[in-house]
Amino acid sequence: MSRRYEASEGQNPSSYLGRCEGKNISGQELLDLAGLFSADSLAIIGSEKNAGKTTTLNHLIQAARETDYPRPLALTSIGRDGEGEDVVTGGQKPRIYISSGSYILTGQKSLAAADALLDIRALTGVRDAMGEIVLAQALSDGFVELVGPSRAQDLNVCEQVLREEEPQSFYIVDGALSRQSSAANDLTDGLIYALSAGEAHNPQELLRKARHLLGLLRVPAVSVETRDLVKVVLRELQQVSDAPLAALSLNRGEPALALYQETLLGQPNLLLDLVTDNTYLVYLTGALTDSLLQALLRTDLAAGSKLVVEDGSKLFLSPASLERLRVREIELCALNALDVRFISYNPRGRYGHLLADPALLWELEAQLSLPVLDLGPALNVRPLAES
Amino acid sequence: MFFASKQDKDLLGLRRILEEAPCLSPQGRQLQHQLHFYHSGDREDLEREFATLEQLRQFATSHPVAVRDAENILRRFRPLRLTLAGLAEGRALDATEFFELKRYLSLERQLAFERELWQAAGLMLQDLDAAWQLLNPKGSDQHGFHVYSSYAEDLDELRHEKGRLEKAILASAPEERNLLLEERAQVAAQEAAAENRVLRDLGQEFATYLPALRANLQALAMLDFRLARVKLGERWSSPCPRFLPNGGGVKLEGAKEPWIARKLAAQGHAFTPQDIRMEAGATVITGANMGGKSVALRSILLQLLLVHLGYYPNCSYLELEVFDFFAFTTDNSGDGSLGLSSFGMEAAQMRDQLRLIRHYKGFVVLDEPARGTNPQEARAIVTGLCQIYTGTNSFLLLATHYRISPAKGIRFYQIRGLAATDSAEAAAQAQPPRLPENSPAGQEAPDLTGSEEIWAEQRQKEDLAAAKWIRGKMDYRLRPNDGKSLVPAEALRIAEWMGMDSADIEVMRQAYMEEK
Repeated sequence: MSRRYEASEGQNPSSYLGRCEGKNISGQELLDLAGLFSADSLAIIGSEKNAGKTTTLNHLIQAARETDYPRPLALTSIGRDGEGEDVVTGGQKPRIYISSGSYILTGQKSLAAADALLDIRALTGVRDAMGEIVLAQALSDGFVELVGPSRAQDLNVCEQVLREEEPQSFYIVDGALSRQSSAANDLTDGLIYALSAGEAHNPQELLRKARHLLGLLRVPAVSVETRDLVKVVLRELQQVSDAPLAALSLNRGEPALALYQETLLGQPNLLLDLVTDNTYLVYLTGALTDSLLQALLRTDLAAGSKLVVEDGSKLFLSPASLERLRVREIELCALNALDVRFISYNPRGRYGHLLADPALLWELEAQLSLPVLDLGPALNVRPLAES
Repeated sequence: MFFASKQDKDLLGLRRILEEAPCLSPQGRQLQHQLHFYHSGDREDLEREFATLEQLRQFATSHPVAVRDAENILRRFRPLRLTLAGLAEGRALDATEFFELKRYLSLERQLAFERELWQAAGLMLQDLDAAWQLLNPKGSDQHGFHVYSSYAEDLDELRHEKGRLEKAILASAPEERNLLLEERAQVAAQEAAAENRVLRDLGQEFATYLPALRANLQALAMLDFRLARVKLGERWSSPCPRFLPNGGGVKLEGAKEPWIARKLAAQGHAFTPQDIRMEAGATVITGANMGGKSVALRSILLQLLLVHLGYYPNCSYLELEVFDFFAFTTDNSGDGSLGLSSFGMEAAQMRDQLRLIRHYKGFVVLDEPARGTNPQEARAIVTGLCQIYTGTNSFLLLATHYRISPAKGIRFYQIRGLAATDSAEAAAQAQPPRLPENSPAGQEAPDLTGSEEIWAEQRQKEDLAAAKWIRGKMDYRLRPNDGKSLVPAEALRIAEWMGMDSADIEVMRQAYMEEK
């Protein structure tokens, strides 16, 4: 569902930080590009750790503040984000600076790390390592740490609690590490992809990586008829058993076959029994990795068959795997297409090198047919002073 | 107390039946799971409990909307055990825990409006208005919670200063920003310290309300538990049990085993309710195989157990003495892991039961005791048990095929069984529906090269059909008898109806006649 929100009178169309040479973007434009005037929710996912998700989030928050965006923002994360120090690498990390009136969904124990004044509004019943996820509203500006649910399905529960409290809020999910699956289409309306130079040492490497990753994310959707058919079969299978379903196959002239399993990761050979001579579609509910694909390609899955995942964020395939699919003439598609709004580019690579050539960004835009923004650092942040 | 092996408890299905009266709040569920048994010294308490339940039942019938509204509130309560334990230990609670307490108080206040309901339930809530005001300072939003500025003057000042700095940061040039952020961080640290101090003081003050809070939680739990039991009583159309002094015995009418009754109803059959009168000593039930003796025992035991747990019985009338303990033993009483035979395990349980009845008034139920040993000794054991119980104030209810000689203090009942429905001659001629000629049950033996599973599955289907036919012939009602009539001997007839070959039956019948 999309709604259009018109900027109210008096909103500040201040120009923004846009770091692309010769290209300024206003706060209003940034929010529009992100979908804050046309949708209800958004995910920010990254190509890898420290890709710039939190920085992108801080920019959105700042743009919303400066333009008097009319809806309260509601923020959460999959896993942990906004901590001052990276719990994995020990390096400094940007923290999240929210505005008064915003909502956050975060673990109870992470509230102590916040210096915004937070009014607890509801308890979600979702429990994790940092305690129960609580819904709080900021009564002042300030820094917060977001430690949301670690399971994608709990995000839905959190959103329901949020909507009961504030139906008009705009819900933003900040991914963690490179767990791209937070952006499943039934969880958020659109997504921003944080792309960093990572390990790429030159523009060509980066372009290849970006094309591949965005190609996976934006894998085409199946037809409406096929999607409806798969959903009907899923519903019927759920009525037969409430065990977790890992995969199913549709077969000409034969009943659908189902594989009930918590996860296929580490057990790819379970897929071998799913494919018959008449299989024309295989659907996986979880992630599709290279090893799972290898197992599927050992079956008789015929040319012209479809291999379907829930959405592009479930694909973890190398270019070589895509080539194998192409040679076998098996079509890779998604039940739901992801709406990638734009790419937020972080020119700093993993080894401290910079890939900040403006021509590179233009090339990325041209090849990916998506806006690419280098937003630069957000509000400068420091850890709390020692008390 | 209720003594029975895990297997026998599962067979009785008491827990499954209690789950039909679910409490809605975690506090109610915790109280319910405690399974408080009343014993003979609690007779007055038990009478009072049922008097209150009846009062609440009448209220619930005439005020369904009030009850439904209360139930909707009860569903929203959350566990508070850890938070209250923290308060009691003097641990500093965090803002989320105070939010939980505030939420609890808000729900309690809503529930307190139903004054007539509380009165009917025989309960009352202590006034916690002061605790509510503590978490809800004047002018604050009643819904959420944070450490309010009004709790401490310095907190208010610090927050104002922080707000000033935040505005300055947003308006500042980048080169000024870091200094302002540093200043803000200092103020934020002072604010955090002030908040921690306030939370500590708040906790200490709130802890003074702990006794009232605990008392109210207990009252809430009991309200939930009483409502659950009342609803079950209404569903079963239960009577209010009458409690008799020692020596009053037990009179039970229309007893049903609710689980089986429901299953039968789903198949379009009616459950045969049981009537029985018992006194201290032994009550012996005999009857044909497949006559429903075991179900009768369980139906009777369940009613008494339910009442002793404060639940309504599933029957049409019940008057009873109050017992100190219950015991239940079948031939399924253990898993043999101790290396005991089935009789060995049974003997151990009998030993414990006999020791208990020397000190307490018990209600002991034995389903075909001493089945696993030689018939002569078994009969002696069962007879001896009946005689032992006649000298006590305890009740023994047992089902057996052995003939027990009538004696003072021993009452006899018999399942009416097959003979009541047909004349003996007609019953002898009746046959279950013929099995198809090509059915596995009609074959001498299975094809050993074929599938054992298919053969067994088919045979089971046909045996179930035969069993169903036999059940249709059975009168499951109990009737008192004088103990002098013969124990019904219909096992051979049942074996014949289950498809045993007539030649084999004839050999067995001959042997039986010689034995007799």
